[in-house]
Amino acid sequence: MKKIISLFLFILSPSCFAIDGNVLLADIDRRLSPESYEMYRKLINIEPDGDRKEFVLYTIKKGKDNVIALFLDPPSEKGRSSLRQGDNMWLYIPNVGKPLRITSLQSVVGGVFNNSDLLRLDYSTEYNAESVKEEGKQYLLTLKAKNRNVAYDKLNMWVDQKIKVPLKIEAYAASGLLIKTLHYSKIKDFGNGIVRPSMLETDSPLYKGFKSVMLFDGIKPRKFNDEVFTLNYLSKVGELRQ
Amino acid sequence: MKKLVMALLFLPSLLQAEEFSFDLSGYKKKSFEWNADIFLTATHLQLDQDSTLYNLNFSDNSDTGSLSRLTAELELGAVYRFTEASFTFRGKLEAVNDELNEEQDSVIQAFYFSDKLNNNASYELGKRVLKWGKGYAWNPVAFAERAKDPNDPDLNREGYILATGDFTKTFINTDLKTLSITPLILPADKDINEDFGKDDDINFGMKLYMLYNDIDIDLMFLHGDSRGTRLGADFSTNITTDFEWHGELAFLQDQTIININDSNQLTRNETDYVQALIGIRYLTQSELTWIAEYYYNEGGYTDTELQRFYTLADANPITQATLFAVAQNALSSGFGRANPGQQYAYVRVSKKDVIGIVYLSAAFTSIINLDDASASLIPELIYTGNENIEIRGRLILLQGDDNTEFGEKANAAKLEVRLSYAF
Repeated sequence: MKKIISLFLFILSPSCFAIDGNVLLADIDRRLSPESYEMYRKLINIEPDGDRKEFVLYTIKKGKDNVIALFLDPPSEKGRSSLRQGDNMWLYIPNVGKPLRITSLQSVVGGVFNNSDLLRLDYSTEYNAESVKEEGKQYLLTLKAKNRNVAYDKLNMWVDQKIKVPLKIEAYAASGLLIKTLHYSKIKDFGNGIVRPSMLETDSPLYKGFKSVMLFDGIKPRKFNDEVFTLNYLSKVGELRQ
Repeated sequence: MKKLVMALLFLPSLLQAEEFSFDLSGYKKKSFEWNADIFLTATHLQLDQDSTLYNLNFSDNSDTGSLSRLTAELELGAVYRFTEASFTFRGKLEAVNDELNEEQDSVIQAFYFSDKLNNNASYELGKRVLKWGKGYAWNPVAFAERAKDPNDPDLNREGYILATGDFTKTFINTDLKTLSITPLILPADKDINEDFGKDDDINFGMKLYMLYNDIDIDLMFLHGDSRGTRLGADFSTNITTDFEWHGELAFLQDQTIININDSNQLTRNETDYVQALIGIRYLTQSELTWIAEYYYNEGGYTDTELQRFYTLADANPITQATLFAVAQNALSSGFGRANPGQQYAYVRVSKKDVIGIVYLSAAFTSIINLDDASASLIPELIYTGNENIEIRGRLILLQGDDNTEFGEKANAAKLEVRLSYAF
């Protein structure tokens, strides 16, 4: 009888049902942000001696692969903007006055965050889920890049089972080298049904002693014209703020 | 139950509160915004007293072996917005002081009105800088711009008074992703844009931009009496995520070239010629960024023509006053421009976070005249670790034999330290 009850409980338990990693990943994306949105981010680079350098970015995204990040602060960086259309990335610097193509692994701010971190697309756009495991109250998703243009070849993503947002991500190069670890925390209700972490801390064995922190705020769904995500518009992105 | 779960989820954020804070209110759009940059530059020039350009430029001060120069610049930018329209301003104040000279100057680099016609179209009227072309050091297709300094290509420049606009259309599920049309009207007479043309001319042009199969492509033209007809094209694309290549091609019609004939007299010839540029930008696994460009200017001076100029420029200002005057005229008529020859290479290699210092960048730049094998060599360090402050130190060494471009420059070496502060 005990065995029958155990079997019955096992059948009813969630772990019995196979979880589709790609469906879960798409769900995580939508919980992190709407497909088209605007948001503000503060990026803080912290050096081993505690010195900090802060940047504020206004970010907009439309669809699967259009993202723009505009620097609002500090004054030395103000007006710089980066556009991503799929694998294409450009940097607009007001002095230079014309967009230059940049690469995903470069960093326009120095420190641990690179361009692909600042112009991140949905995880499900760039990665396929290879496996899902349960670890306590978290899922462990193993993600593989869909092509070689993606900044990190493999991600291990620990996901909160209840609200389905990432809590920790390890990013690996194709060689298996751990490039960086991301820690999401401070879950916050941003309104419009968006409940997600408001802080992301990053460290990297390549930058020992350094830490980068990203604070999120003002995330909300917003529609944009396609023409906003073009080179000629990069000098005018700041006008979209409300 | 849901509230309890949410409260538990929020608890860590409450416990960790205030280590980092983010107040959005300061970053919303305002009707008036301004910014400024201050540049303080100390320069030491080691002059080459045997060079021909020293002879032309320092004939009144022939004992000057070196110069120490201090330069202070203030660049002020502002934007005033109302509804969808705005006024944009950028101006510069400059003071220069060295042993021979003391100068103050001010210039309005840009001051224009812009307005949005609809989601696809906008226009701008006033003084503004256009930046056409994909090249880093040179831009053959920059038809409506003041020339940039290949030694410092990112410096702000003064624009021209013009009318321009943008019409942009995007496409989904086609090879052509974006199409932008930028028309241009540029007037020139003795009071407006006088260094573009002085004969009461109206120049008009257009740039057509396409993002086609992940390739940026521009086609452009400028037509008018000021500078003849110019046709151009450029492209830029990534071969891999870390390897970009770009190119420019320009055809210039009815251009005036001033030269020196066998009798040491200046001549004027009308001719057509092409300019071309091809370049790469490559980020290596070790995070070195390479920029390399080859520039060809059919309208530039040949090695023989430049040697004739250097021979003339060696004239004694007293005993050969006529020849000396011709050389000074030649200097201001084309021979004195940056990179007056026909073939050049530009190489810049830079690395961020050198010797483990996160905000320290190092770079080495060289511009090589491929016809006479002379070159400038520029090692450089930039530190941006203090917020809003950039400190740049660089040494410019000029290498070349007699009668070569860089061998005949007035200075042999230049040490420059620049501090910039943005607020």
